Amino acid sequence: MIKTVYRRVVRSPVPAVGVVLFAMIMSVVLQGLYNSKLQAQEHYEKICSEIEVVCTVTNLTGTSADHLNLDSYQIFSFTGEMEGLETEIAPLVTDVQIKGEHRLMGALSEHSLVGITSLEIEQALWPENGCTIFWNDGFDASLFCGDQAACLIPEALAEEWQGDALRVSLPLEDAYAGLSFAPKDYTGELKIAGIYRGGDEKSIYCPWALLMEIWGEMGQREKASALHATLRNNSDISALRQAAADLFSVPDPNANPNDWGYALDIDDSQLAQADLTLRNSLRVHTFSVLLVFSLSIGAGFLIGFLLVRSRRREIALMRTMGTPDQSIYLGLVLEQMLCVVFGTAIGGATYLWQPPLQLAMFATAYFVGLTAALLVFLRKNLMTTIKEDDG
Amino acid sequence: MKTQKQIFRQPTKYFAGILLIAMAVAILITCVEQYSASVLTRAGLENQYNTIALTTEQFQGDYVALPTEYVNWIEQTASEHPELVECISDTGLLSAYIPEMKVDNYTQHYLLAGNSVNLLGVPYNCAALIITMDEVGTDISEQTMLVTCADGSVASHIRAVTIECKGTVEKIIALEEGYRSPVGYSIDLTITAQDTEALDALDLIPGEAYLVFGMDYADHDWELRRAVSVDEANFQNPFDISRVYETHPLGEEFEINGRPGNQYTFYYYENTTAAGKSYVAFADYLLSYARSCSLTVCDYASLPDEAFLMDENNNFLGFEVYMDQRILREDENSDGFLQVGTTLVDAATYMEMYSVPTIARLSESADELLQTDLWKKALESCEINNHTFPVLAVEKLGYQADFARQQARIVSGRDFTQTELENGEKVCILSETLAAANGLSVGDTISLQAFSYDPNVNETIATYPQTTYPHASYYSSARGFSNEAEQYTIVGLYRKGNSDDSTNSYGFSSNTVFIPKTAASAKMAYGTQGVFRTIVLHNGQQEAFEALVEEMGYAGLFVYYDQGYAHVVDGLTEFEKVTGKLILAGLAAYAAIMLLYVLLFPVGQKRELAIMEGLGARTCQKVSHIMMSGIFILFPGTLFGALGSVALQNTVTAGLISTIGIELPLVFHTAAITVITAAAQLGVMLLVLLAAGLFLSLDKAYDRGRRGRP
Repeated sequence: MIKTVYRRVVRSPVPAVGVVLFAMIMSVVLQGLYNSKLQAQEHYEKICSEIEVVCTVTNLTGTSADHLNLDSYQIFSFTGEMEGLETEIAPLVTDVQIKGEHRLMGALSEHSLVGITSLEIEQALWPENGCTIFWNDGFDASLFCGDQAACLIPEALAEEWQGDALRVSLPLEDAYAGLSFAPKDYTGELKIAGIYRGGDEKSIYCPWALLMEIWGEMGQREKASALHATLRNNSDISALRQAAADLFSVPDPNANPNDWGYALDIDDSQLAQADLTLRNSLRVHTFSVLLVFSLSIGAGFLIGFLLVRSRRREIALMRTMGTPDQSIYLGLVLEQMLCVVFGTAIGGATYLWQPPLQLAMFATAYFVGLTAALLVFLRKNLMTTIKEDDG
Repeated sequence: MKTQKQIFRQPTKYFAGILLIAMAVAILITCVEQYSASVLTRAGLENQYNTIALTTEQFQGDYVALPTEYVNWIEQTASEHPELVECISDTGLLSAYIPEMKVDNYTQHYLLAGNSVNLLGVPYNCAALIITMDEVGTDISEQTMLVTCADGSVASHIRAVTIECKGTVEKIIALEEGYRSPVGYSIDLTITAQDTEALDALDLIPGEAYLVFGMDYADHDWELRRAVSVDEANFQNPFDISRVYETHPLGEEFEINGRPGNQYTFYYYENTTAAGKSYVAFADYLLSYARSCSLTVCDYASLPDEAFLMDENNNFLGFEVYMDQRILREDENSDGFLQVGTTLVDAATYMEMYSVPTIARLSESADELLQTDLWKKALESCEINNHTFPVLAVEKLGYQADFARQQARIVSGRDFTQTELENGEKVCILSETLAAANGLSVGDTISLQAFSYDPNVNETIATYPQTTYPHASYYSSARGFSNEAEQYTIVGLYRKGNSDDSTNSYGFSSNTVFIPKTAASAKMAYGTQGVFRTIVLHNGQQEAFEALVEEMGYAGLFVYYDQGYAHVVDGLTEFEKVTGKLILAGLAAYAAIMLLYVLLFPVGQKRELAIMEGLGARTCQKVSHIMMSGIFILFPGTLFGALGSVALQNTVTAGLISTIGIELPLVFHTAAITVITAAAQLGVMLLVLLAAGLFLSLDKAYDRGRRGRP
């Protein structure tokens, strides 16, 4: 039978070439769609990697990101700076911004010492919120990135204070148990780095790292009133949610205010938008692939119809000779299989036959259409076929 | 002649034709897609990103509002440089009665929002209570006013007298439900009357019951709980005196008392946290705040008025006092400050419009008294005030500083669409917490009925509107509502992470409702700063604008927020240039290929047409043959071309982006563009086919035969 099929193809090469070309082109289109889908995913992954996802610790309802009372465990889960603490959050985040404060005593008892990692974490220092900072020579906002013993003081205090250093006293409020030394108050001098006008006029700002050092000397438990960080790699957003689930809940407007704890508000709205755009794009690709399969079925049906039509004498003759319909069907299918497989193989070489499943489905769809046509038209009566031809 | 038979006679030729069409269509659609992506992305960027300029403190000096010099410069620049300044967006403030919603009462929160404790709870701090008088103050303080005498000297005149009393709250007649019940609380009453005779007439006797009304109810227990709590969970618990310690329970090293420089004696309050017990030091005077509240009792309408007299050139003439008349204040202010109006009305008329009940001794129940017109009017106002919300009518939500700075964002639903903003559709956006507290979600409707600010209602409110955390005004029964109740659909919910930031110059409370400005159907209040005014620049013009600012010597007047527009716009501009050239090249290639197709196919059928002519075919039959044979190529070719363009899209995009070097968040409407372009080119080609068919058919057979002869 293979020989017969081969001879038949060679005898009328044009239709065979047509089928081969069709299979070749459609397999190239299919692979192109697949490759295009991969590129879309890659493109949006690159876009997503550039989107900044900020994670902010808030109260349970998500309405307040300041004046919190985060304990040392919650702080260090972000910074990872505690010995013996294993945290899954810290490796996933970067650019951690923290604010903490401690009431002062003595002459400055109406003020608080506020440790910050940058101006960004303290809205009261933002110029559009009514604050202007006048830095002394040699100082600027990078002060808060380090641990220099310097501070920014309110204008009203600067007018009363003499000298270029501020003497601060911090009363012990809460100490760790089991310290190797007796916890105590702290008194020290901070160089005045600058003056601010506006804002919260009862705060004296120093680097967060300095406040941590002071607390360390006192034996005082650390606490933070505000904390936010940026996700290091946006593909880890699910991992962050999972890692944070033990310590933080998701902001919930219906949260019971009597409950302890805090929430982690992850602003992934831009990421969600990019994801939606990608999904819309992939939907188009999926539809196009389905269209290709539909075309394949249609083409198979059309070719089957044309085959039967062009060879009705031959088929009639074969039936007269006693050839069963199954053999006729098999012969025609084998002939087409040869062409389609050959065409798909050549076309598939463009992208190294990826994805193989879709290529196989394309070929299968073609044969489904072909089979349907053959089943419909091969059932015709022999005499009817001959009469049609004569007619 | 059957066209399809002719096609199947020359399958190779027609297959080649299909390939040709497919190639042309794929090129065309790909180029159109890329160009449309650049256009759509640009339009999306302009809609999504807003570049705003916020004024800084540097130039404010001692003034709350930006000095006139800068306001004038900003307005002048906006009109002279429309290429830089998109607009000066003015947001309007309405006070709206929304009966379906209860307000988010500040006393339910641990933290303070807003710039003045006195303004918290406005306007839902009206209260009508039954109290037992415990103590009547004996010290009477006087409130004086100045009057310019005939000889030009200035004398003082007693306007009102005040005494401080203490009582115990027995029953609530009217109080916003968000406050903790003050039944059993001690209450500090500040009772003001015109003179001592009026005070005596109030018949204040310790031990007696009184019905009191005031408009500045304050829960001092809230202040105490805030001061002694380390977090929200501890704040929610009632103050427990057994948790108060005179010395620090953890030992001397923690003791604050006795240290030099302390102004107060400190006590310590025990909090319970996840980490164990924690102690907060608080000043001793706060202890008196436990289970206490306060109320000012005064019918301001009954007090004489004083005024600064000005002539028409705003020169000061002197002080004037009106005993039998009252100043009927208007609200025609754009800077939020009250100005003394010149309208005077008879005191009796004024009091009929604006009098409120004060304090009345109860011999039996209060029911009879509460049925009087004065009390009924007061209680009706209470009820309305308890469901009144500040409504900000915006030109675009993204123009609000907190949204532009991404301090606030939509977490459910969506922002207003351009259509809604332009057409004034009745839609609104609420805070997530307000919606949750009232069982509302996106898609629900609420009814809004606005009323205007009436400065005669409560003279203790000195400025309206507040430029930050603006509140609604009190309802005025004298003026009533400004419009009929209108139904608004909730389209989005916002979350704001800085609701407790009292230093935020652009803040708004969680009670704030946003609507499109064009939807507002009542008179609004405006301001020149804070939430009321935003300078909106065209995206990408920040540097040029700052150059202008510096030229005027105002460097540092503004800070800018563009949500990252500057990062994407350079790449997008490059992409637009590239795709602009690409679409021209694509159109040229398409035209060339289609010309080839026309030459090969319709024109190549001249011989067939000659045969048809010879056989007696009519013109329409010949044209039909040309059209049908063309359709059999065009349709499948277009389909394959469309598929091919979808397959090529991302490859081409990746190639273009790699030439620019910046990843862009491009917007593709692949399906729509593909279908529209394919359909359009199909239509064009059908017309070309028709024209070709007509042209070829009208040519005479014998002429063709003659030309065909060697």
